[in-house]
Amino acid sequence: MEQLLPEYINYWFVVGIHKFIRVFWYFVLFEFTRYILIDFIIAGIFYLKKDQRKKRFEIARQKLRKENPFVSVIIPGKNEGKHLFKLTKSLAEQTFKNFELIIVDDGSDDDTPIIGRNLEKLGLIDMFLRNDMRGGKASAANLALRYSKGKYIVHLDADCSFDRDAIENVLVPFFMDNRIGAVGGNVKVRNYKNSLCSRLQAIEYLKTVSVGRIITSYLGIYKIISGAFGAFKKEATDAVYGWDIGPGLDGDITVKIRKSGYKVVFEPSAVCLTNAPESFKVLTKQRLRWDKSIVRFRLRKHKDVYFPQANFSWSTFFALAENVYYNVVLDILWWIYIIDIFLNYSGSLAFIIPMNFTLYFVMNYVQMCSIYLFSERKKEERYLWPYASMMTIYTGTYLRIVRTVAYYKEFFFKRSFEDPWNPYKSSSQAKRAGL
Amino acid sequence: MFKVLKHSNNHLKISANGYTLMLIAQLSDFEKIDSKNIDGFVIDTTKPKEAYKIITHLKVKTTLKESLKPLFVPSHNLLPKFITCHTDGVLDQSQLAITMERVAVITSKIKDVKLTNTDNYETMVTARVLGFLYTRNQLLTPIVHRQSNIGYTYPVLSLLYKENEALAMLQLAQKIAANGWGNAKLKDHIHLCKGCHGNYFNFREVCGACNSIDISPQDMIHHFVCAHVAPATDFKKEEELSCPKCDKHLRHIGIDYDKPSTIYHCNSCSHEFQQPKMEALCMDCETINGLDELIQQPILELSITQKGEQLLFNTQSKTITKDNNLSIENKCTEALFQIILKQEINRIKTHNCKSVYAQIHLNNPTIKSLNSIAKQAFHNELLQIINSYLLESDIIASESFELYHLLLPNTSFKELERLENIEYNVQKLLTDNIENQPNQVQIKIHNITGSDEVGELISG
Ligand SMILES: [Zn+2]
Ligand SMILES: [Zn+2]
Ligand SMILES: [Zn+2]
Repeated sequence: MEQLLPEYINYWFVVGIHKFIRVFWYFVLFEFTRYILIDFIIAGIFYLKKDQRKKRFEIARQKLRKENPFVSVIIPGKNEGKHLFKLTKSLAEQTFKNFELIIVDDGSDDDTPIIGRNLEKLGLIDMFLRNDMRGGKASAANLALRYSKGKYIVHLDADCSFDRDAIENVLVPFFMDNRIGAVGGNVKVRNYKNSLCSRLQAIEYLKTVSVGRIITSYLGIYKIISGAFGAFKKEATDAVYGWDIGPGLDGDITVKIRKSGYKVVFEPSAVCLTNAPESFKVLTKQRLRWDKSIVRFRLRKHKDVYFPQANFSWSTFFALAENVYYNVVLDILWWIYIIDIFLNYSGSLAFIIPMNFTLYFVMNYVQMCSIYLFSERKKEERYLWPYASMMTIYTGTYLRIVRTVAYYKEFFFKRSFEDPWNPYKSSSQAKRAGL
Repeated sequence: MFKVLKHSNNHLKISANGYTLMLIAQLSDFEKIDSKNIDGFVIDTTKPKEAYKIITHLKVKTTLKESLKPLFVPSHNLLPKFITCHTDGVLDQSQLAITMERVAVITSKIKDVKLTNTDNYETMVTARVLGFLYTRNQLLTPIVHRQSNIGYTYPVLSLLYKENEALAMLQLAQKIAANGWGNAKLKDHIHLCKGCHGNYFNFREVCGACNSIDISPQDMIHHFVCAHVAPATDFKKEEELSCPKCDKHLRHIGIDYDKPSTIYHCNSCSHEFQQPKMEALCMDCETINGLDELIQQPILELSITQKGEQLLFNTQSKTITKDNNLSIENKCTEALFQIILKQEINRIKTHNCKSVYAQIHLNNPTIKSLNSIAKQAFHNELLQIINSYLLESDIIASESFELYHLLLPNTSFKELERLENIEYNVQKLLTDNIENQPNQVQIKIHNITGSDEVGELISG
């Protein structure tokens, strides 16, 4: 037995479990509990309740079909003209048909207005709204909202495509519980075969977006409906007056809807495919923006949820706290861990570093198993298995560094207000108002 | 230098430099004169209606040569431009010599015009337009004309079409250019009603859903700080603008809000849209035209080309064929060839002159095996070679590359040098391009007599 294992692993058998936990406290306390223990406990509960859940879902689906509510599908965006025709074709394939399609062109400087007007004339788009002056994503979504006639709003990104039953399935949860105000769809990476960067993101999406959201939704602390695919009750979006200035407006409106007393859930069977950035340069830019928004919205704008007040809600508190904890707090703790190891165990690094990698390596594959259990397209996702070995570098190192940079910049310099993602006119007003 | 003479039956003439112009006061004046001795005309009325009748009569009802004779108006500002544009301008009595020089030039140019037989209306119109361009050595420039159905009047050409035939007229102008008889310069594009080909429209914006004209535009407002976007009515509170989302006052456009677009509301069906549908109501026939239904036509300014001049110089045997993509001027259809041949046989019966019928026959299996496009190209090339040796009075007909019918009028057996040239060159073309096969070209010659039968001749 001892001959079969490398020396660095034997070392840990020799020094004993106490020292193991002392040295790998970060892994044992956070990574193992969060990504292995909780995943498999919930997977177990999910498995046991499978039939019951299926039955509830079917009953709700029948209710949806019977009522057949009118739905507004809204797609705000800039320079998305090239995707529009394909998108209308993808939507025409949907099993749910009773919807209007509203496209908002937020000051595009390409052919989008021409394409949009033509599709509108052809009847493929019900309403094409264009603002000659760009106002930012939130204002574009709000414009669509103002002219939506549906009882439900489905918010999409133009470059996404959808499973045939995606819109139907994202609406079903509204008929399971009347208090549900918003439903998040399951966003997966379409171009996972194109580059290493997109493959790693595909695995990441499966872990955090799919599995992560099933679990947080189950625990009632699901906190971010992706802008790529989400459904809202019109009365809920009206109650919160739609979207506020981004970046990170998807998470923001989810919190606002929660705050006004609605439940927010995730629906894994409503699948949408999106294109992930294919180069690390583009990915880094995207993540800096997302990570800054966590500080801006979770810690700054919505800080009231952490304090006792009139409409205090434990689930909203936990939803945000979980988010902050797993991103901001754990990020800080990780750096503390690194310092701890370098200060106290610098002599044993030859045993510690490979063991850490081994632990994460094993954990990644155990996690792939839990993804496999939850997935509704098991076969396609087997393609990604070899790449799971690289996730340690990707999430453990690369994303962590990006995140740290983003938090630092936003926390101390409020850099998100300078993001060209929003027009300056809006950002400067938002900053002054302390949003 | 000049004198105005009283004509025997009360008509006025102006004579100078050996040319005589006739004053025409009303249409009936034409009946009383022998126009053979008249070199041109002067309109002697200030009534536009009468002047128009006179011009129309001269340019449309007379023979080609007669229609080309100079036509002047007495002085400025008495007749509208849409009438004077068909004429040669003002007759200035103080500078009569200059006018008469102009008459001299036109008269001599009219003599060049040989074309008299015009077998259909289009050919007749083409001849009159080209004749006008040639004899006047000027451009055919359409003038804007509010009373015209299409907003423009062409000199001469417009006289030859009724108001409701404007489309045919515009298409003829394009045909003249397409056939290479005229050079065209694009002056304007016009749009015509699908119902009546008129172009007097009321353009208006309507609701795309119900076509109602009762639509009202509204500014869209974007409040920066809260990203709320809605039409201005949502923001209006008495005189103030106040945001329904965040309750703030809107103070300064560009600083805290802007108006990024406009949206229309239909007061008939409540449809809301940004791009109203445009439609054109025809003010003549009340047809509603969608913008994409309007018939777009070019307004062309034409000048005559050498090829156009050649058309005029040919005699009556010359025929303008409609399918002129070959540009073989002596070519006609086989059916027409048979009619002309029959006429020629009849002519020989009575006049006892000599004409030759020739048949060129190619026998080449290689060409037969070519595809239709290559065959057509070969056929065109042969036609051009044969045509280049023919006289203007000769006629050729050929439906396929294998067989060519030729009619050589006023030609005796001794004057068949051109057939020898044709045989030599066609043979050369074949041997240059295809492997040497002797006797590929056979020419049969027949001296036409009064007792010949068309069918027998053609079939060989
Ligand atoms: Zn009309
Ligand atoms: Zn506002
Ligand atoms: Zn309407």
